[in-house]
Amino acid sequence: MIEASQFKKMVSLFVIGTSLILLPSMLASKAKQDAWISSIVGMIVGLVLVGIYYALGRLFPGKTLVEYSKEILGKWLGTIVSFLWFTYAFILTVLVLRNLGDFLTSSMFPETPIQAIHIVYLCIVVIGVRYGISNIARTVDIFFPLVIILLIVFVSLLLHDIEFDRLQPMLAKGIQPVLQAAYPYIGFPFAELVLLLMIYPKVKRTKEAGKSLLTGTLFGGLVLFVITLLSLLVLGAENTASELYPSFRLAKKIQIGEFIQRVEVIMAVIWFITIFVKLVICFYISVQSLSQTLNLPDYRSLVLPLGMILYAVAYFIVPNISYLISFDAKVWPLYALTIGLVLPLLLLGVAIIKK
Amino acid sequence: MWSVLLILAVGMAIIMIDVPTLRRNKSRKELWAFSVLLIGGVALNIVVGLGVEVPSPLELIKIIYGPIVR
Amino acid sequence: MANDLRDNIQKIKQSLGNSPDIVVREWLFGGPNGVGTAIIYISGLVDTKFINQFIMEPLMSHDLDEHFKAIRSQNENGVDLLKQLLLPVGEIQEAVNLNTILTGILSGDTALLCQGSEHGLLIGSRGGEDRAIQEPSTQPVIRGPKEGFTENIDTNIALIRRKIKDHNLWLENFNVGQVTKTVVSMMYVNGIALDKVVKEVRDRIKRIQIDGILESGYIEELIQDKTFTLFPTIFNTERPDVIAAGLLEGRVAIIVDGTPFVLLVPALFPQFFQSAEDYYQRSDISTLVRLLRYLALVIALLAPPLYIAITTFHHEMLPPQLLISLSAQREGIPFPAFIEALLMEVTFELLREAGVRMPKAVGQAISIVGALVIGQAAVQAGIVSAAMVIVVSITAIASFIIPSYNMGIPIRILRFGFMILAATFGLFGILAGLIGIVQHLCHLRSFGIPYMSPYAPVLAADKKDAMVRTPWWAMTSRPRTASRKNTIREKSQPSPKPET
Repeated sequence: MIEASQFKKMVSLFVIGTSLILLPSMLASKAKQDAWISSIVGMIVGLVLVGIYYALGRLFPGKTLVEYSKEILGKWLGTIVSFLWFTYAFILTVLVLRNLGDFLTSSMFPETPIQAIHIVYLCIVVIGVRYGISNIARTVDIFFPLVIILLIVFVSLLLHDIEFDRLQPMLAKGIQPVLQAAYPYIGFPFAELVLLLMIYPKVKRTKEAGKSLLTGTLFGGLVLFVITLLSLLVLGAENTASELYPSFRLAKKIQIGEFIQRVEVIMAVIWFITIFVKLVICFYISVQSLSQTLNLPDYRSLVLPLGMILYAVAYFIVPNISYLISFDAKVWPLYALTIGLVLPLLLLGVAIIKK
Repeated sequence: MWSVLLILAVGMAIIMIDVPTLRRNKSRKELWAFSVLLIGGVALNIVVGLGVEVPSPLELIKIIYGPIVR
Repeated sequence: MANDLRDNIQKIKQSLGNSPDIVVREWLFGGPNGVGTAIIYISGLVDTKFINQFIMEPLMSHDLDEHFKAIRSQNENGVDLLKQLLLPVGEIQEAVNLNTILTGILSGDTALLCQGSEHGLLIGSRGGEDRAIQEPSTQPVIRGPKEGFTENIDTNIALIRRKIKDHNLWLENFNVGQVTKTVVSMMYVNGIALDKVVKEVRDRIKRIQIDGILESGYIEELIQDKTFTLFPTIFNTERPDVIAAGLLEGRVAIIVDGTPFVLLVPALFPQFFQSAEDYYQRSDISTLVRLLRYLALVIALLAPPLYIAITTFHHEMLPPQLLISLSAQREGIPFPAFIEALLMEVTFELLREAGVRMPKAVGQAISIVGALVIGQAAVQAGIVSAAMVIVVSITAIASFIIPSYNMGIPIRILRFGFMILAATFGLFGILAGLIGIVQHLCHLRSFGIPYMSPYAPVLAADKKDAMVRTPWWAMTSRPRTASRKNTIREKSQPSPKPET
């Protein structure tokens, strides 16, 4: 059982998750200096998606996504669809872990083997998932204020480097590139929010759950908007687009006098926490969805074995970063929208017809 | 060689952690799922550890969506 | 028990092993043809003056003829007559079997036996030497009451009763420990305390099966929530005012005879960072001091690990001058930062333990020798760097700021864990360890209540007393973590404004 306020924080951190480091560059590469507009567009579409999820969640209070997929589509089809949910969640988990590993090895710890980072992270994630969702919610309760404070500090320290000219010329190439850039943004992370329907029923007061889902998404989207905007204002469009991790580059720029510099550690701590939250939620959802697909009474026993598989898959899921970038931009949105838009709409449709 | 032993050791540890509770609760279905996943996990890790090239599931997704991707 | 006086006396003496400190006083009640009577007590445990004045004297005065005749004629109720008419004593109990009499004698009561009567009387005559009420040694305050509990449970209960005069302050006694038969009391304010917790405490105490209870620490270990954790889930204190405050919040106090440390349950994480003084001083300074304590927590836990992480993996984080001077210092040091830190920390732990055992006078010398001389010498010998000594000293000072000794223990232990993490994975390892610890803490419960309340789950109302100390006129509700009943602590107070 989790409180609505905790759910809201979980949703926010989930949305921020890995997008905090990856989004600005993703948007800027197509939209250049208008990336901030793309961010707004993406967020709006994202909220629409969330509206669909909310509708689905409302129809089946107290039941998880897997549970009512089986209810709506019957035993056989339902199990297949549930398995699709599981694979979606699991692949997402693997990608998030890999994202983190790649980021840390390329920017902060070049000498560390990526496996070491994966193992350490997996340990705390496994502990978290085994402790249960209420525990995850409480952990989020504790870390959320810290993230907010650090973000505020981060933004404040960069304010004097802002130049609004960097946003010009606005809409130079028209609205097309802006919309094109927003397209992958919808797939990542908004279409992933459908998975939160596995946790949605655990929120204490269902009426508030829907509100929390929306506000959480809104807040997360807002934070991403600010970071994207900041990135453009301080680094400029070209730099944002060319850097893989522009927010990190942003962090490196912070300098107060001679004493405070190289404090990109602040950013690292923020990422560490937001990615952790997204990872632990994703892994929890993966294990839960598998356990419910197989009609098991409890999910806990699956955690460790699935963790082992996760570790292995994270290793070979992508051969290198460029593969991942092109996959993220071209293929993932299709996959995500199929599972995150088409499938929920299908379920919703069938459910409404049946009633 | 060492990595294989390490992986097996981890597998053993996982068995020691989870199996007693599972057997006590007589949850056959869980035990079954657990074992399958564990064997899969150990096997997969050994395979990767030995340097074998394993195809990524993303490849599968790419194939499915191939024609639509420009 | 038997009818015959002699028999009974024999039995009692034998059961007690004919111990030389048993006093048996026999006489004939009512003159030479009277009824054989005896009192039995253990010399060190009783107040002899009391016995002589209030038991012996009334029974030995001379105008007892009618009473004597009454007893003569009603054998069985002789003892009862004595109790009704002749003994001007407050605590009298009738006892039928041998075990009760023995327990009574061993607790400091005086047993009174009559020839021909199978009943005996146990007269409360507890005495003996006790420590006087002194200032508590472990939790002193600058402002506030300077009373501390003693080893006598009756005194302790009285100290609490003096602070809470409400008739709802209820008490329940238990006898725990097969051999020690220690008296353990549970106190709570009926109507404020959570029934669930009271019941849980009662059940857990009743379930204890052990030979002996010598200190409240035994009880603490035997009743705490069974999870594998380093962190304390039961609070203890030597101060009656702290216990009284806890009772007012709805907590349950457990008092153990023989120790001045009283337990308080349920105990949550923020409590271990509160001190009684926070409530006696002004709220502004108390708030700042509380924040300071949390800062001290971070320093005590992470200062050496951070030192290790930064000097080993993250040199870039330091400003250039500091980096240069640090490198210069570490130039001649043969060990990597981790070993250096480990050496210093272990040395410090050794000094600490030594300091605890030393008699007061020598203790001072040890700390001076340890801190100054060894530290200084070590730096000069080139074994550790000066920066390391500074780090370890600050860590030590920070760890003493935490008001509750219980909480200092997990921090000391975890510090070493973090040092290892820092040495292997650097800052990244420290962060991961922190997340792991936070998750563990969130998972803990004290008698059913989440350990990290009110930080998680967030209970807005309770935040007034967690990290900050809101002024009294604003603390209108009791912490909801301890009690859901009777949540209004005070009515809104108008804060008096000066006359304009």
